[in-house]
Amino acid sequence: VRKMNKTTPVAVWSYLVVATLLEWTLAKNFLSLTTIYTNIVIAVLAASQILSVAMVFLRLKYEPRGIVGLAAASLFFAVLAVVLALGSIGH
Amino acid sequence: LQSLQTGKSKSLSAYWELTKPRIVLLLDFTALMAFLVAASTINIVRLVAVIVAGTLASGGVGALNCYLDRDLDRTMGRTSRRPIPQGEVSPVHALVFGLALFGAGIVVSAMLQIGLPLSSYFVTTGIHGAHVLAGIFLIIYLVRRAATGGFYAERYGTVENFNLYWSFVNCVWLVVFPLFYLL
Repeated sequence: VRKMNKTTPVAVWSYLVVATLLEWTLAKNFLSLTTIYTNIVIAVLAASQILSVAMVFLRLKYEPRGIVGLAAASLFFAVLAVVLALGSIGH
Repeated sequence: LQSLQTGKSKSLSAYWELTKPRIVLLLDFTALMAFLVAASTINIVRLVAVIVAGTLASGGVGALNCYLDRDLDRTMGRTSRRPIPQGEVSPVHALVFGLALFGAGIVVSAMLQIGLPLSSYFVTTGIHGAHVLAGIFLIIYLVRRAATGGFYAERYGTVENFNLYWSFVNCVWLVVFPLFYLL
């Protein structure tokens, strides 16, 4: 089992704060109905936040590969469910 | 195996009895008649949703009634055969079952009332808020237990499990925030 560096949780928490502020700024100043690029950047930022929490706070970085594969498969189906649900909500 | 199956079906039957199905049927019949009289055109989806919401809510209230009257029920011949006095369902299980059914009925009713997009918002943020609230209570419990020396190097499983729960709730928020408040 690999040990976590003491500064890692603080670094991840700081990244979460910075990324959230960046998402909010992008949504406030650049979000429009004519372009989807801002939406994509916000979605990528949110995905990177989730990945960092999953890797460090949910310990995936320190788990055996089998567990990581299982988590990735679960994430795939969770994203699929959200995307399909969005289609239903929109109509 | 046969005794296990018998036990399971007996347990299911006890939970079914908790909902007071005959009263639920009567209420559903009343709701159906009111719907048919009031609606100018019959929307089958709405009709089914009304029946489902009514069944869940009234069944839940029936179970809550059994929970609240559990002491009185023991003293009267007719009600002493109900699942809680008979020991087939514990009072706590009846309470949780009743609240869950009633909550599900309210959710279905809310979806009928406000439409799918808004109800999705309220259901998602409401459930997330409930998890955050539960997490706050757990943090208070953990801090109090830690202050009295409840955790040490060989015994920290509860803290570790809470960390997994809280981090997962965090992940959910990271989806909910941009989805509902930014995009």
